[in-house]
Amino acid sequence: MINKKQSIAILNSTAPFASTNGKDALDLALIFGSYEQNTSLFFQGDGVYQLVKKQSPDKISTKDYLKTFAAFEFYDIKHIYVCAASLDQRALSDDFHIDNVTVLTTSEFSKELHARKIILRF
Amino acid sequence: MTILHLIRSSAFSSNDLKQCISNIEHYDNVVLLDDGCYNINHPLMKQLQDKSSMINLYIVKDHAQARAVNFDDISKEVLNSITMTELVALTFSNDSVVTWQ
Amino acid sequence: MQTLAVMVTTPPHSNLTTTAIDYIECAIQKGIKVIGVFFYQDGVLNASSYLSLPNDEYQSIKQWQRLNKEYDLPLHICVTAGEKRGLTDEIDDQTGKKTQTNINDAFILSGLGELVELSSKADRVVQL
Repeated sequence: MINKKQSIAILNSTAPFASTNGKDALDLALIFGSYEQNTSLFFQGDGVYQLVKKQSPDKISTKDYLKTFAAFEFYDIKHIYVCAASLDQRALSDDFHIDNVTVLTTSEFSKELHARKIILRF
Repeated sequence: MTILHLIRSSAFSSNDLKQCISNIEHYDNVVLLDDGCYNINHPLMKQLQDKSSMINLYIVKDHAQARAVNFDDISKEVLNSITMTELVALTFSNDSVVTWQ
Repeated sequence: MQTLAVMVTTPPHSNLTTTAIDYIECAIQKGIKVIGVFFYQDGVLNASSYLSLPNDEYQSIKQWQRLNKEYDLPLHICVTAGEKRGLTDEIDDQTGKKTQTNINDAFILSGLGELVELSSKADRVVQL
């Protein structure tokens, strides 16, 4: 029995393909979401590469798990935060492959992270 | 809400410590353990030490000694050595835990 | 009583896993109720019954078995992560029962839902 709701942050810090971190974090996010836990996703450091548009994982024989990000709303994952400084450092724009992403300054990002009860980082 | 930050990797090989530092707020606790002990001589340590008035910084003694990491030169006001049992206590004196590994 | 759940993502031959074991045992001895360990990513490899660590090296598997037995500590391995790494259960054709063929008896095959349950019950969740 799931007897109480916890606020969960899943913090993505790894680029999408070389390691399984991104996929493993996604699986966790969807399961926490489907159990109606208060789940938020955070992208910082190389994790922001998971949000870049027009990636072609088929070229490297990798499953396109990033397209599942479109289901976040369906799983009731309302908050998706991205660190602006991480985008700037990597010369990335805020044009992502999903909607409803909130770009935060480093300090806002930290404050949102501090508001969560459980933080899992991948 | 305070976070207990667990630093488990060397900043000479990973970006984890740098990312951690950007997510530190007042009254947070930061613990160096495992290869995180090597950060004692990393340039980023200065940034952590500069924050020592707003945070508490710890190192797991056995993990540092295992690696011949010497922290005697650093004032106890800046860095405290702790046991694993004290690390457990810190887990509960903070509101949440982030592992930077 | 304070409660704790731990997620382990490191393999049995890593010293990071030794740290996790030390941490968990210190918590139990301090009177913390450790409600479960959830093994994810390479952490599931800790459950392999085929593990053979050289005698003069740290026997992480023996430590997990001991923690499980001495303290009734539930050790859950993520079934999806396990299957990706060759760890699985089988259904016996004769009895129709599931058998954990290459998974150590101290561990339980669980879904990710188990982690949600542990997270909802524990005062703190620590990823090691």
